[in-house]
Amino acid sequence: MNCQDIDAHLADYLGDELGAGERAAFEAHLGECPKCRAEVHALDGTIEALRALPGVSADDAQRQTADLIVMRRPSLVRRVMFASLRAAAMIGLGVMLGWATFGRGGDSSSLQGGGVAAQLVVERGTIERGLHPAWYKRGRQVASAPSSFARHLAMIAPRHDSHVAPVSNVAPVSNR
Amino acid sequence: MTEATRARVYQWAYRLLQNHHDALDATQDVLLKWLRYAGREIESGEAWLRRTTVNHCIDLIRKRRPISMGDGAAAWQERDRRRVTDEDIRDRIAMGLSGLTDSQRAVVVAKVYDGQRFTTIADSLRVSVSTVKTHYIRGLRALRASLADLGED
Repeated sequence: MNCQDIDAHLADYLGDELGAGERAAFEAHLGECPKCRAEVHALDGTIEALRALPGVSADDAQRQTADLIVMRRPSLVRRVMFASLRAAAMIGLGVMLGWATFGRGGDSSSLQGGGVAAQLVVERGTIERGLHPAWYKRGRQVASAPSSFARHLAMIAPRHDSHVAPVSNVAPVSNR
Repeated sequence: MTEATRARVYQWAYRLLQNHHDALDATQDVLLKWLRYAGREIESGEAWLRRTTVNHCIDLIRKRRPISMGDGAAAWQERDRRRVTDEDIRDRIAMGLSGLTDSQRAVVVAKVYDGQRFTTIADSLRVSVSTVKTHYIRGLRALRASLADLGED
Protein backbone atom coordinates (compact mmCIF):
# COMPACT_ATOMS: atom_id res chain seq x y z
CA MET A 1 0.00 0.00 0.00
CA ASN A 2 1.07 3.59 -0.60
CA CYS A 3 -0.15 6.85 1.00
CA GLN A 4 -3.04 7.12 -1.49
CA ASP A 5 -4.22 3.60 -0.61
CA ILE A 6 -4.09 4.53 3.07
CA ASP A 7 -6.34 7.51 2.39
CA ALA A 8 -8.77 5.29 0.45
CA HIS A 9 -8.94 2.67 3.24
CA LEU A 10 -8.79 5.07 6.18
CA ALA A 11 -12.51 4.96 6.99
CA ASP A 12 -12.62 1.16 6.84
CA TYR A 13 -9.53 0.87 9.06
CA LEU A 14 -10.81 3.32 11.69
CA GLY A 15 -14.31 1.81 11.46
CA ASP A 16 -12.87 -1.67 11.99
CA GLU A 17 -14.25 -2.94 8.68
CA LEU A 18 -10.98 -3.87 6.95
CA GLY A 19 -10.28 -7.54 6.11
CA ALA A 20 -7.34 -9.24 7.82
CA GLY A 21 -5.11 -9.14 4.73
CA GLU A 22 -5.75 -5.47 3.96
CA ARG A 23 -5.38 -4.60 7.61
CA ALA A 24 -1.90 -6.17 7.72
CA ALA A 25 -0.87 -4.26 4.58
CA PHE A 26 -2.33 -1.05 6.01
CA GLU A 27 -0.39 -1.41 9.27
CA ALA A 28 2.77 -2.36 7.40
CA HIS A 29 2.62 0.98 5.59
CA LEU A 30 2.01 2.81 8.88
CA GLY A 31 5.22 1.23 10.18
CA GLU A 32 7.13 2.81 7.31
CA CYS A 33 5.38 6.18 6.88
CA PRO A 34 5.47 8.65 9.81
CA LYS A 35 3.02 11.02 8.06
CA CYS A 36 0.30 8.41 7.66
CA ARG A 37 1.03 7.04 11.14
CA ALA A 38 0.53 10.47 12.71
CA GLU A 39 -2.74 10.99 10.82
CA VAL A 40 -4.18 7.60 11.82
CA HIS A 41 -2.98 8.00 15.41
CA ALA A 42 -4.67 11.42 15.70
CA LEU A 43 -8.00 10.19 14.33
CA ASP A 44 -7.82 7.09 16.55
CA GLY A 45 -7.32 9.39 19.53
CA THR A 46 -10.37 11.39 18.49
CA ILE A 47 -12.51 8.24 18.46
CA GLU A 48 -11.15 7.30 21.90
CA ALA A 49 -12.01 10.76 23.21
CA LEU A 50 -15.58 10.39 21.91
CA ARG A 51 -15.83 7.04 23.65
CA ALA A 52 -14.71 8.61 26.93
CA LEU A 53 -18.37 9.37 27.61
CA PRO A 54 -19.83 6.31 29.33
CA GLY A 55 -23.13 4.95 28.04
CA VAL A 56 -25.85 2.71 29.46
CA SER A 57 -26.68 -0.83 28.39
CA ALA A 58 -29.85 -1.58 26.43
CA ASP A 59 -31.30 -3.42 29.47
CA ASP A 60 -30.65 -0.47 31.78
CA ALA A 61 -32.11 1.93 29.22
CA GLN A 62 -35.28 -0.19 28.96
CA ARG A 63 -35.59 -0.26 32.73
CA GLN A 64 -35.15 3.50 33.03
CA THR A 65 -37.72 4.27 30.34
CA ALA A 66 -40.25 1.57 31.33
CA ASP A 67 -42.59 4.08 33.01
CA LEU A 68 -42.39 6.62 30.22
CA ILE A 69 -45.72 7.06 28.47
CA VAL A 70 -45.80 9.37 25.49
CA MET A 71 -49.20 10.38 24.19
CA ARG A 72 -50.19 12.25 21.11
CA ARG A 73 -51.57 15.72 21.88
CA PRO A 74 -55.20 16.18 20.77
CA SER A 75 -55.53 18.00 17.48
CA LEU A 76 -56.28 21.75 17.41
CA VAL A 77 -59.83 21.11 16.18
CA ARG A 78 -60.53 18.74 19.09
CA ARG A 79 -58.98 21.13 21.63
CA VAL A 80 -61.08 24.08 20.34
CA MET A 81 -64.19 21.91 20.28
CA PHE A 82 -63.74 20.73 23.88
CA ALA A 83 -62.89 24.26 25.09
CA SER A 84 -66.09 25.60 23.44
CA LEU A 85 -68.19 22.85 24.97
CA ARG A 86 -66.70 23.55 28.40
CA ALA A 87 -67.39 27.29 28.11
CA ALA A 88 -70.95 26.67 26.93
CA ALA A 89 -71.56 24.28 29.81
CA MET A 90 -70.23 26.81 32.33
CA ILE A 91 -72.41 29.63 30.97
CA GLY A 92 -75.42 27.33 30.97
CA LEU A 93 -74.70 26.30 34.56
CA GLY A 94 -74.27 29.95 35.55
CA VAL A 95 -77.60 30.94 34.03
CA MET A 96 -79.35 28.06 35.81
CA LEU A 97 -77.71 28.97 39.14
CA GLY A 98 -78.66 32.63 38.68
CA TRP A 99 -82.21 31.63 37.85
CA ALA A 100 -82.39 29.48 40.99
CA THR A 101 -80.69 32.07 43.22
CA PHE A 102 -82.36 35.31 42.15
CA GLY A 103 -85.87 33.99 41.63
CA ARG A 104 -88.00 32.96 38.73
CA GLY A 105 -89.98 36.20 38.39
CA GLY A 106 -90.44 37.96 35.12
CA ASP A 107 -88.62 41.20 36.13
CA SER A 108 -85.32 42.29 34.56
CA SER A 109 -83.20 41.85 37.76
CA SER A 110 -83.42 38.05 37.57
CA LEU A 111 -81.90 37.99 34.10
CA GLN A 112 -79.18 40.36 35.28
CA GLY A 113 -78.53 38.08 38.28
CA GLY A 114 -78.21 35.05 36.00
CA GLY A 115 -75.69 36.92 33.88
CA VAL A 116 -73.54 37.81 36.89
CA ALA A 117 -73.56 34.21 38.15
CA ALA A 118 -72.61 32.92 34.70
CA GLN A 119 -69.75 35.40 34.56
CA LEU A 120 -68.53 34.29 38.01
CA VAL A 121 -68.55 30.61 37.00
CA VAL A 122 -66.69 31.33 33.77
CA GLU A 123 -64.13 33.48 35.58
CA ARG A 124 -63.60 30.76 38.20
CA GLY A 125 -62.87 28.23 35.46
CA THR A 126 -60.44 30.63 33.79
CA ILE A 127 -58.61 31.31 37.04
CA GLU A 128 -58.36 27.62 37.86
CA ARG A 129 -56.70 26.94 34.54
CA GLY A 130 -54.57 30.05 34.82
CA LEU A 131 -53.11 28.86 38.10
CA HIS A 132 -51.62 25.75 36.50
CA PRO A 133 -50.74 26.62 32.91
CA ALA A 134 -47.66 24.38 32.80
CA TRP A 135 -49.46 21.45 34.36
CA TYR A 136 -52.48 21.98 32.16
CA LYS A 137 -50.41 22.05 28.98
CA ARG A 138 -47.97 19.28 29.93
CA GLY A 139 -50.68 17.01 31.27
CA ARG A 140 -52.16 16.92 27.82
CA GLN A 141 -48.87 16.06 26.17
CA VAL A 142 -47.02 13.67 28.44
CA ALA A 143 -48.00 11.47 31.30
CA SER A 144 -45.29 9.65 33.20
CA ALA A 145 -46.85 9.15 36.61
CA PRO A 146 -44.43 6.85 38.45
CA SER A 147 -41.20 8.36 37.16
CA SER A 148 -42.53 11.89 37.53
CA PHE A 149 -43.53 11.12 41.11
CA ALA A 150 -40.13 9.65 41.89
CA ARG A 151 -38.39 12.68 40.42
CA HIS A 152 -40.44 15.14 42.39
CA LEU A 153 -39.84 13.09 45.52
CA ALA A 154 -36.11 13.19 44.83
CA MET A 155 -36.29 16.99 44.59
CA ILE A 156 -37.72 17.43 48.07
CA ALA A 157 -36.30 14.43 49.95
CA PRO A 158 -32.59 14.35 50.91
CA ARG A 159 -30.52 11.68 49.16
CA HIS A 160 -28.74 9.13 51.29
CA ASP A 161 -25.43 9.74 49.59
CA SER A 162 -25.69 13.52 49.51
CA HIS A 163 -23.18 15.61 51.37
CA VAL A 164 -25.01 17.41 54.18
CA ALA A 165 -23.41 20.36 55.94
CA PRO A 166 -22.74 19.73 59.66
CA VAL A 167 -25.43 21.16 61.87
CA SER A 168 -23.17 21.83 64.86
CA ASN A 169 -22.76 25.49 63.90
CA VAL A 170 -26.50 26.01 63.88
CA ALA A 171 -27.97 27.34 67.12
CA PRO A 172 -30.30 24.80 68.72
CA VAL A 173 -33.93 25.74 68.48
CA SER A 174 -35.91 25.52 71.71
CA ASN A 175 -39.34 24.03 71.78
CA ARG A 176 -40.85 27.34 72.73
CA MET B 1 -43.74 3.06 19.84
CA THR B 2 -41.78 0.06 21.04
CA GLU B 3 -39.87 -0.21 24.30
CA ALA B 4 -36.70 -0.76 22.31
CA THR B 5 -37.17 2.56 20.48
CA ARG B 6 -37.57 4.46 23.74
CA ALA B 7 -34.52 2.72 25.15
CA ARG B 8 -32.45 3.60 22.06
CA VAL B 9 -33.35 7.29 22.36
CA TYR B 10 -32.52 7.20 26.07
CA GLN B 11 -29.15 5.57 25.34
CA TRP B 12 -28.17 8.32 22.90
CA ALA B 13 -29.40 11.06 25.24
CA TYR B 14 -27.61 9.57 28.25
CA ARG B 15 -24.37 9.25 26.32
CA LEU B 16 -24.37 12.96 25.55
CA LEU B 17 -25.95 14.35 28.72
CA GLN B 18 -24.38 11.94 31.28
CA ASN B 19 -27.35 12.40 33.59
CA HIS B 20 -30.43 10.21 34.08
CA HIS B 21 -33.00 12.95 34.65
CA ASP B 22 -31.84 15.10 31.75
CA ALA B 23 -31.71 12.02 29.50
CA LEU B 24 -35.26 11.05 30.48
CA ASP B 25 -36.52 14.59 29.79
CA ALA B 26 -34.74 14.59 26.44
CA THR B 27 -36.26 11.18 25.61
CA GLN B 28 -39.76 12.52 26.27
CA ASP B 29 -39.15 15.61 24.18
CA VAL B 30 -37.72 13.64 21.25
CA LEU B 31 -40.52 11.07 21.30
CA LEU B 32 -43.13 13.86 21.26
CA LYS B 33 -41.40 15.34 18.22
CA TRP B 34 -41.40 11.86 16.72
CA LEU B 35 -45.19 11.59 17.13
CA ARG B 36 -45.64 14.93 15.36
CA TYR B 37 -43.11 14.71 12.58
CA ALA B 38 -42.48 11.03 11.88
CA GLY B 39 -42.95 9.96 8.30
CA ARG B 40 -42.22 13.34 6.77
CA GLU B 41 -38.47 12.80 6.54
CA ILE B 42 -36.35 11.29 3.80
CA GLU B 43 -34.17 9.20 6.10
CA SER B 44 -35.27 6.10 8.03
CA GLY B 45 -36.99 6.27 11.41
CA GLU B 46 -33.89 5.30 13.37
CA ALA B 47 -31.73 7.84 11.55
CA TRP B 48 -34.33 10.55 12.22
CA LEU B 49 -34.52 9.66 15.92
CA ARG B 50 -30.73 9.55 16.28
CA ARG B 51 -30.24 12.88 14.52
CA THR B 52 -33.05 14.58 16.46
CA THR B 53 -31.84 13.22 19.81
CA VAL B 54 -28.24 14.29 19.25
CA ASN B 55 -29.27 17.76 18.07
CA HIS B 56 -31.70 18.15 20.98
CA CYS B 57 -29.02 17.16 23.52
CA ILE B 58 -26.50 19.54 22.03
CA ASP B 59 -29.06 22.34 22.34
CA LEU B 60 -29.61 21.42 25.99
CA ILE B 61 -25.89 21.47 26.76
CA ARG B 62 -25.55 24.82 25.01
CA LYS B 63 -28.17 26.27 27.30
CA ARG B 64 -26.10 24.92 30.20
CA ARG B 65 -28.61 24.66 32.99
CA PRO B 66 -26.54 25.32 36.12
CA ILE B 67 -28.34 22.88 38.45
CA SER B 68 -29.77 19.58 37.39
CA MET B 69 -33.16 18.64 38.80
CA GLY B 70 -33.13 15.93 41.42
CA ASP B 71 -30.01 16.97 43.33
CA GLY B 72 -29.83 19.04 46.45
CA ALA B 73 -27.51 22.06 46.35
CA ALA B 74 -24.92 20.48 48.65
CA ALA B 75 -24.91 17.23 46.68
CA TRP B 76 -24.52 19.19 43.47
CA GLN B 77 -21.53 21.14 44.79
CA GLU B 78 -19.89 17.95 45.97
CA ARG B 79 -20.47 16.29 42.62
CA ASP B 80 -19.28 19.40 40.84
CA ARG B 81 -15.92 19.16 42.61
CA ARG B 82 -15.60 15.44 41.93
CA ARG B 83 -16.81 15.31 38.35
CA VAL B 84 -15.50 18.49 36.87
CA THR B 85 -13.44 16.51 34.37
CA ASP B 86 -16.43 14.45 33.21
CA GLU B 87 -18.52 17.57 32.74
CA ASP B 88 -15.70 19.19 30.85
CA ILE B 89 -15.33 16.19 28.54
CA ARG B 90 -19.08 16.07 27.95
CA ASP B 91 -19.25 19.76 27.07
CA ARG B 92 -16.21 19.62 24.83
CA ILE B 93 -17.55 16.64 22.93
CA ALA B 94 -20.97 18.27 22.57
CA MET B 95 -19.37 21.46 21.29
CA GLY B 96 -17.16 19.47 18.94
CA LEU B 97 -20.16 17.56 17.57
CA SER B 98 -22.14 20.79 17.20
CA GLY B 99 -19.41 22.08 14.88
CA LEU B 100 -20.02 19.23 12.38
CA THR B 101 -22.54 19.21 9.57
CA ASP B 102 -25.77 17.29 10.23
CA SER B 103 -24.63 14.41 8.00
CA GLN B 104 -21.16 14.18 9.54
CA ARG B 105 -22.63 14.17 13.04
CA ALA B 106 -25.16 11.47 12.13
CA VAL B 107 -22.44 9.20 10.70
CA VAL B 108 -19.95 9.76 13.53
CA VAL B 109 -22.55 9.02 16.24
CA ALA B 110 -23.90 5.95 14.42
CA LYS B 111 -20.39 4.57 13.91
CA VAL B 112 -18.64 5.48 17.16
CA TYR B 113 -21.50 5.11 19.66
CA ASP B 114 -23.72 2.55 17.96
CA GLY B 115 -20.97 0.58 16.20
CA GLN B 116 -23.04 0.32 13.02
CA ARG B 117 -21.47 -0.81 9.74
CA PHE B 118 -21.05 1.72 6.95
CA THR B 119 -23.55 -0.14 4.76
CA THR B 120 -26.23 0.02 7.49
CA ILE B 121 -25.64 3.75 8.00
CA ALA B 122 -25.81 4.32 4.24
CA ASP B 123 -29.15 2.48 4.07
CA SER B 124 -30.66 4.43 6.95
CA LEU B 125 -29.49 7.80 5.61
CA ARG B 126 -30.37 6.83 2.00
CA VAL B 127 -26.93 7.80 0.67
CA SER B 128 -24.06 5.81 -0.85
CA VAL B 129 -21.47 3.96 1.26
CA SER B 130 -18.65 6.10 -0.12
CA THR B 131 -20.54 9.25 0.95
CA VAL B 132 -20.89 7.83 4.45
CA LYS B 133 -17.15 7.09 4.61
CA THR B 134 -16.35 10.61 3.43
CA HIS B 135 -18.64 12.09 6.12
CA TYR B 136 -16.98 9.88 8.73
CA ILE B 137 -13.42 10.93 7.94
CA ARG B 138 -14.29 14.61 7.50
CA GLY B 139 -16.26 14.55 10.75
CA LEU B 140 -13.37 12.95 12.65
CA ARG B 141 -10.89 15.45 11.20
CA ALA B 142 -13.14 18.35 12.22
CA LEU B 143 -13.48 16.90 15.72
CA ARG B 144 -9.75 16.31 16.05
CA ALA B 145 -8.97 20.00 16.57
CA SER B 146 -11.55 20.55 19.28
CA LEU B 147 -10.83 17.31 21.14
CA ALA B 148 -7.08 17.02 20.58
CA ASP B 149 -6.04 17.66 24.18
CA LEU B 150 -8.74 15.33 25.57
CA GLY B 151 -7.38 12.46 23.53
CA GLU B 152 -3.93 12.93 25.04
CA ASP B 153 -5.18 12.50 28.63
